[in-house]
Amino acid sequence: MGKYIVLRLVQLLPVLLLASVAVWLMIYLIPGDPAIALLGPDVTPEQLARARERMGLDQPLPVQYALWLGRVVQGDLGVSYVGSVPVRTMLAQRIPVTLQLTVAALLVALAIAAPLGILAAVRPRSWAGRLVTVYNTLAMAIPTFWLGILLVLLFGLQLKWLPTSGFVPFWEDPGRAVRLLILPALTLGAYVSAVLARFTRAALLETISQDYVRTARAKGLRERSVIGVHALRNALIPVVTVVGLQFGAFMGGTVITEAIFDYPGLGRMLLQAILQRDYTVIQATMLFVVFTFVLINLLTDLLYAYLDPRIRYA
Amino acid sequence: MESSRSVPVPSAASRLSRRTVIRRALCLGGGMALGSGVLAACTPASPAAPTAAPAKPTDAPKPAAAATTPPKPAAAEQAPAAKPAATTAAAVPARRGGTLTVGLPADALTFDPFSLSFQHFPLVQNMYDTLIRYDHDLKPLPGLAESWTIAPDGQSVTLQLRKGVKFQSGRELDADAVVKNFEKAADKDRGFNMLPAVANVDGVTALDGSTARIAFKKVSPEITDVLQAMSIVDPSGMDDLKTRAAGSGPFRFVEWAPGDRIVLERNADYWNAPAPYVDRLIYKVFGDSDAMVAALQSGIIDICTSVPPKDVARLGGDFTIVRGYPGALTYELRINPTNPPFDRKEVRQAMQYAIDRQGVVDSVLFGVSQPTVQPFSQASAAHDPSIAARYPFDLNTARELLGGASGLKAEAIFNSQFPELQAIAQVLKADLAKIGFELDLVPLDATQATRRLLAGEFQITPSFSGNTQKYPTRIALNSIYRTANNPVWGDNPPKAYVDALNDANGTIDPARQKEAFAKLNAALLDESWVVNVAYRQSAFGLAKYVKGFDFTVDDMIVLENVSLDR
Repeated sequence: MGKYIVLRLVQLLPVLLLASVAVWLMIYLIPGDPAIALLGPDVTPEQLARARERMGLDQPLPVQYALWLGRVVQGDLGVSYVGSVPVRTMLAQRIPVTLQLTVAALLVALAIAAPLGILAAVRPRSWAGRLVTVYNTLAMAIPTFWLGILLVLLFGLQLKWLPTSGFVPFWEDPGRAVRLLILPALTLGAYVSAVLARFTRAALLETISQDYVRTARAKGLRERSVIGVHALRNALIPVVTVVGLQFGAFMGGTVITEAIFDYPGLGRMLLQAILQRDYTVIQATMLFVVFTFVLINLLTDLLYAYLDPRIRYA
Repeated sequence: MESSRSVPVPSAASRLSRRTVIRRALCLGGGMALGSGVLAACTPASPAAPTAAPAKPTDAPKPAAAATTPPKPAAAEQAPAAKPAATTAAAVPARRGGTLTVGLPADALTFDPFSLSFQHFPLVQNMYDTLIRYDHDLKPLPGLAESWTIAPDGQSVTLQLRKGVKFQSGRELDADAVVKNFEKAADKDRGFNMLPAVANVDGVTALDGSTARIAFKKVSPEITDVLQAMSIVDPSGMDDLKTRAAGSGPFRFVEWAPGDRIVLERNADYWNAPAPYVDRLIYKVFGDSDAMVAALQSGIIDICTSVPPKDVARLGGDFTIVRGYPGALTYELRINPTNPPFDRKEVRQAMQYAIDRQGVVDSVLFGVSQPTVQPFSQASAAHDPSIAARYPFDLNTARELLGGASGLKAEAIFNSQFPELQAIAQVLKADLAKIGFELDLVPLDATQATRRLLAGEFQITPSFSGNTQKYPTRIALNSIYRTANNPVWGDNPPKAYVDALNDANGTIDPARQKEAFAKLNAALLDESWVVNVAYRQSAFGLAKYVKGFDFTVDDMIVLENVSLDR
């Protein structure tokens, strides 16, 4: 197992290196640069040239990349071209914010998906089961931005029950943090709840047709024990995997939700950085997202290898 | 007394169905922008931010009266007052305390008052003081300079500085600080927007601790504009302005959480006591104006600094809507005269006739504006009401100027950060189509649009210019009006235009100035590389309990007299 982990970690390095090149080069394909974004439409050519020189943007691309990579491997992610703040500080401020939203969204998704998925599997042809199918279809079909707008209009502006934007760390003011999280977490969690409900339903349907479940019923166990203790525990393994991967996706993929709710997380920072061509921030954020995704994939692989020895000997 | 004004409800019936379509499209566009957060969840980019800084208004804007305001004094001028500027809110006993939360259209990114973008307009006046202030009629009032004396030859001004003013660091304001600020403004790396504004400054001398003398290279009719634009930064804090403010304004800098908020607190030592009234000022950063409006409606913020025209009438019942200074910016079509078919003057003039200015005001700006053919606001000395009818909306004349030939084609780029620019382009496109001129619309993000604008890589583009309300030659601070490094003319703008600017800049004689302004307007209208469309008038949304709100002639927000009457 130890050898397998080392092998996978070594394989991780070229993936990250390639990702860094791709991330780095893609940014330069977008016309415009941070000097223009920062100085605006009335800047003189001389001022622009001086700003580019100050930012190091006048150097050849390979030189810029080498300098950047050299700093990154030493843990220096650079300073924001636009805001002049160390990118590491910016990431450190934004990661916990997005993490809070991610956890809340996954909790919302699980809270919806688990009962719906079980209901749909246990009573597939009932009206309740059909309602679950309708919910799944709707939740997967409605675009996230549209749902976000509807929630803002209904709960924020019409009923005035919940705030439409803002962030408070959970440990500072749990009550207010929850109020601020409800709408973005619902927006983000709705789609995932449908995905998880379908996974749960499919996995549970397959599990309850297994012999050991039939045996449990034959032993006279109550249906709640058969489903809750024997079937669900096994059925949830693929669901947990999906949750893990979704966790990675949320850490870098909440741009739209964060924009709608003006949530000061990684997604909004990334969006602003792209619009301002703030190269150092884009590069560092994308690298973090890629790293998180690859790491979670790695952890998933390791978990599988741990559960199924055939994988690590293959 | 609040400087709020009633909100006119846009006319119920649109004149043309096309306008209805555009209006609805604009509303939908705003909603979609809120949703997607991709196009409009934008950042900064700052079209034509005026270089000027704060002023202290004393009353609601009076554009009509200001239209007849004579040019600035010709000879020696003694500042009339040596006491703090009167303010609208000062007469009303204001309630003290509380936290005021203000929406910011984008993150500040810098606290340098010389580096101005749109997002700084709600901030700067509340952290820094300027040497003098303007009221809404552009009348100079004392600021950090208690009085000022302009030399008879118009080539120098002597400032008497207010005593007892302290910066946040505890350092006291003195003439040396003024000298250092002018040095910063003239520095190519640190001057930013102020660099061109002080191009005519020859030197600044500290005569004693509280007296400074500014000498100009040649006669300067813009002296008070320069003084009004000059925020004074604590010299000891100049190196840290990227991350913190260093002013002497009514509020002190506390913290900046990038992308999220800026926190200021009451400056208990403020020279213009008893202001300020609120204890804490929090600026919350928003990605787009629709989200900011939603935050105002749900009570998250007390002031929305950017109410889109489409929302003004809707919000009018529940909130106080304050209209900004009319003509702080002017919407326009920038045309590249080196790029066919616009290399023909007649084609550019055809655009003057083909743009339906009143239609734009009615359907794009929802009545929150006025049409104009000239860049200068109604308060400007160069504003000339007699030329208002020079280019009426007349598609037949436009067709004649195009030579009657159909099949002409052009591309209009625009900055998608501002939905109204797209809508203006759509109005033009629809009307040009009627006379056989095909216009392709190309949306670009702010950075890309700015890049192409600066590089002259466009044929026609809706945009806006600032510095249209002060001394008329200041429009040349906008890139499209520059006399050198102009994005479309290079170093060779039309001679008549350059001559008119030089004439206006070279005299303090009102009669000669008036003559020069007339030439300037004539040159602009004749060459038509900028087709002015309408004035931009900001709208601020305030919770009803916010009292004492004000703004400068640059539409910078003034909060020193704000109190919360909850």
